[in-house]
This record gives sequence, structure tokens and C-alpha cells, in this order.
Amino acid sequence: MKILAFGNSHSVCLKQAYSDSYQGNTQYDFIARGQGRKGLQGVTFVDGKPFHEEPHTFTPWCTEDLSTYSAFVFIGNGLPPQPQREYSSALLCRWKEDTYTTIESLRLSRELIRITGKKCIILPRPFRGGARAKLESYATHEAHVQWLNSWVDDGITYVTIPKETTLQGMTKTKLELLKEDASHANELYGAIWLKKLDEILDL
Amino acid sequence: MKTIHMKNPYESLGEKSFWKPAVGSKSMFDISGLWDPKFKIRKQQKVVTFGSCFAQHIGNALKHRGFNWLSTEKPPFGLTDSTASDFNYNIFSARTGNIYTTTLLKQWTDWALGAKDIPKEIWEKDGRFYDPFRPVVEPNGFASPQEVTQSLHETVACFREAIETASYFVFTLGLTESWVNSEFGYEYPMCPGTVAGTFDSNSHRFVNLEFKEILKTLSQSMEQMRSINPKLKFILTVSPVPLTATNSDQHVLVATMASKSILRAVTSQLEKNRSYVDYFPSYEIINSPVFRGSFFEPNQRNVNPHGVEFVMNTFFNCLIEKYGNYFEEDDSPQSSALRAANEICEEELLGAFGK
Repeated sequence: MKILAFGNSHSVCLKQAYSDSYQGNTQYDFIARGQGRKGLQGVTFVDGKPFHEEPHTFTPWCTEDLSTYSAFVFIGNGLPPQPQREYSSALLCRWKEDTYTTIESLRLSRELIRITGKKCIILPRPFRGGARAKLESYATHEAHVQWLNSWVDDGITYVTIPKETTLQGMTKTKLELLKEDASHANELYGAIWLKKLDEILDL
Repeated sequence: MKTIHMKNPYESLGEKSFWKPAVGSKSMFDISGLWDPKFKIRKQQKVVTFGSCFAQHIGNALKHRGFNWLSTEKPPFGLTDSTASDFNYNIFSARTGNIYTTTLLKQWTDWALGAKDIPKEIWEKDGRFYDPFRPVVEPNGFASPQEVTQSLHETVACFREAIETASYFVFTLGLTESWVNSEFGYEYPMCPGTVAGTFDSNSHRFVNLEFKEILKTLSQSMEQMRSINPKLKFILTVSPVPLTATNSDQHVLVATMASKSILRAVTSQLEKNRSYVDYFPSYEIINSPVFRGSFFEPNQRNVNPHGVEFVMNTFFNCLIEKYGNYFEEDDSPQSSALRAANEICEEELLGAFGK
């Protein structure tokens, strides 16, 4: 099975784990660019292949035909927050549609499903520390992901962050799984994700 | 015997006080110093904007110049700017819609501070439901009366939050004419039956506000707001946009001039007597014969983008003329350094792919 993984700087943890220690049977190709360089903005698909006007700004880029992949994965995504205010039903309807324009992983997923009919899996970024994390529990995160999956297009699946990477009762990522900047994860964290992806992809 | 030459008062005045050097001998685009700001508005200070249509230009200009324009009623993350605008988010600092009159401002303030109950009136048209106090806030109305009520209460709470947290409250006075509910006395921003609702001459009464009432309600609103935020300062402007229609029996042009003159007089009175109130002359800039109507669209009503730009450039240039160019000082060097550091950090991580 071959997977094309799109992402930002968080992709590196999966890529390193894939290169260094992955024992599974899935083959991964990556398309990644840091969020500071606008992440996946501008990525489109032309003639069944990924296209960008400046592919050299990605590390790496990939031009394989989309039909060769079994599924697509998006790494390091901030989850669209659940609207907290009492918005009107008309607005929420428009909002759901708008997210397929404004949120790159959803925009590309919808397009990939249209072109290939294959599934797209969206992985959240590692939890950060700080005050906000202390207010959230793993159960809150699960509920958030469940809510996202209740309205996204068929074929798109948000997945919960692997529980073993978080501290009990809090959504702060385990320190040993983080890089020194405390917001990016390392290859051990990536390895846990690859294992979880194999389960999701039912390998 | 020595003759002492006493200067007459005009001799010591600066250039701006004389028509010829300040206006007559200048290109209209070089006219400057039209505003002597009372307050040094720092980029970090929160500014909220409410009022007539023209207030939204002030909010936009503040945002684009990196000032801290505050929206307390935000659209959900991921909404496009276009949809947000369709649903009246980020037009004013909360989704109040236009607050054309000072009595409407007083009404919103009373609701926000709990001085008066929020009316329960809701309009229905073709199975959709409309808020009489914000009839165009949703492009096709609400799905149910509950949604109308819920949304209005949300906006009232956000309006209160704007009052509580802002350093500056910019209010653009637009009209003197209004429509009120005869029985309960509350005011509608638009005449019932125009956009939605049904006009009923027994229930709906026309009011053309007079100087005293406008002055009183605006004074009261400001005092009420300062009761929950004593540091709040006000910048008043008068909308340069003429009336679309008048119900005053006067010609609409005459009614417009009367209306704007009264509003202008009120702002002058308040600005002169209150240290926490300033007046910015957007009305004069757009409407002065010196500018030969060049800031209006061909319908001679809507202000064109050049007019908006000229007004807002005047706003910022006058701040710089008085206080020096402090805008760059206000830009946080830490935040740009942090952004750069994050980018570098991300790129270093991605560099691992090259190994």
C-alpha cells in the first residue's frame, strides 16, 4: 500500500520514523512545507498529479500520479474549532461549506476524493502545553474529533491523537515525545502515529 | 514716548487659521492639519467602531494600518471574509448593524447595561424570521424566532463587551430621523415594511430628533458606558453620506443638510465640553465645496474609495503631525522576531528531509 502524506513541519517526525524504524508494509511519499512558508497553500492537482507553481519551496515535493496511492494523509493539522457562539443555522451551513475553501487539508481532501475516490485521513498536530491545554481533557479532544467527523464529507476522517502520547487527563504531549521547541514532536512520536495509521488503514 | 504695538489676535495665528494659505492657494489634496487630535491612539489600544455606514470605513482603515480594531462578535474560524461580510461580521465591532441615531445608541446601551429589557418583537416573512433591530444582519433572515432572540441577545452581550474592553469608542452619527414603536417607545433602525416587517401607522411613529434630544441621549449613552469603563474615550464623527430618503416633508437635500448640521452641532458641543470626547471631521472633508464633490460616486450619495482613503489618510496623518511618527514604535519587535524564529525553526525541522 502506498500513501501520499501532505503536511507542514510536523511531517518530519513521521518521515524520520519512517526512515529510521518503521517495520510496516506501507510505502510513504511526502509533500511538506512549513506553515511559515504558507504550508499547503497553492497546492492543486493537474493531470492527476500534485501541482504547485513553486515546488522547490517544498521539502520534499512529489509528482507521482495520484492513482498510484491507496489513501492520503494530512499531518500536523490544527483542528477547526467547534463554534462556541450561538450562530444561526444559516451561518453554520455556510461555514461548513467555507471550510473547504479556507482550510487547506479539507480543500485538498475534497479534491482528492473527487479525483481518486480514495480516503483522506487528517491527523491533528501534537498538543501544546500552556493554559489552554490544561483546560482540555483527552475526552474533550475525542468529542471534538467526533464532532468534526459528524459533518465532513464522506471519505474524510479526522483521527484522535494517540492517547499514549498524552499525559493522563491532560492534552499536553509527553515531554519525551517533543522536540526542544515543545510544539514539534520527534521520531518516537512519529512512530506511534505510523503504527496507528497502519491500524486505521487496516493493514 | 515709546509706542507699544499690540498685536491683534489674528497676527499670532498659524497658517491653518487663514483660508488663503490653508485652503485657497493649495491643491485640494494638499490641504492638511484638518484635525487636532485630543488623544494619542496607540496601536495596541483597543478601538471599537459603531454607528452609521461610514463607521465601517474607520474600522477597516484601523485594521489595515495595524491598529487594534476590536471585534467582540467574531465569526467562526474558517469562514471566508465574503461570508462573514454577508452575515455582517466584522463590519462594526459587534453585529449591531447600523446605529444611525443617538437614540438607537442609547437603546443599545440600555440593553447592554440592563437598564431596559430587550423587546421581544420579531418579524416573519415567507417563513423566515427577522430581527426588527437588525433587519439585514442575516442575508435571508433566521430559521426560527428562537434564533432571532438568541442572536440579538448574543450581540447585546458583545456590544457590552466592546464597551467594557475598549480604550476608544468611535461613533459615527448618521441620521436625525427615526421610527419608533408607538406603544412601547422602542426604536427601529429602519422603517418597518421597508426591508421586512409590516408598516402600521397605528403602531409605528415617525420622529425627527431635535438638537436637545440628540445631545441628551448621546451624553447619557457616553456616561452610561463610562460607568462600566471609566477610561473609555470617544471619537465622534458625522457621516458624510446624505439621506436616502426623508419622511420630514422637506426636500431630501434640505433634510440632509438640516440633519447633518444638527448632528454636527451636537458633536461640537460635546467635544468642547468633555475631555474624553474628540471629534474627527470626516463630514467636512467629504462635503466641503473645496473638494468639489469629487469624493462622491456618480449618485452623489455614496463616498468613493478615494474619499474614504483621503479621510483616513487625514486621520492618521493628523495623529503623526501632532505626536510624531510613533506608529513604528508601536509595532512590537518581539512579535516579528518570534514569527521569524518560528519560521526558521520549522524550516530547520523540514531540513531533516534533506539528510
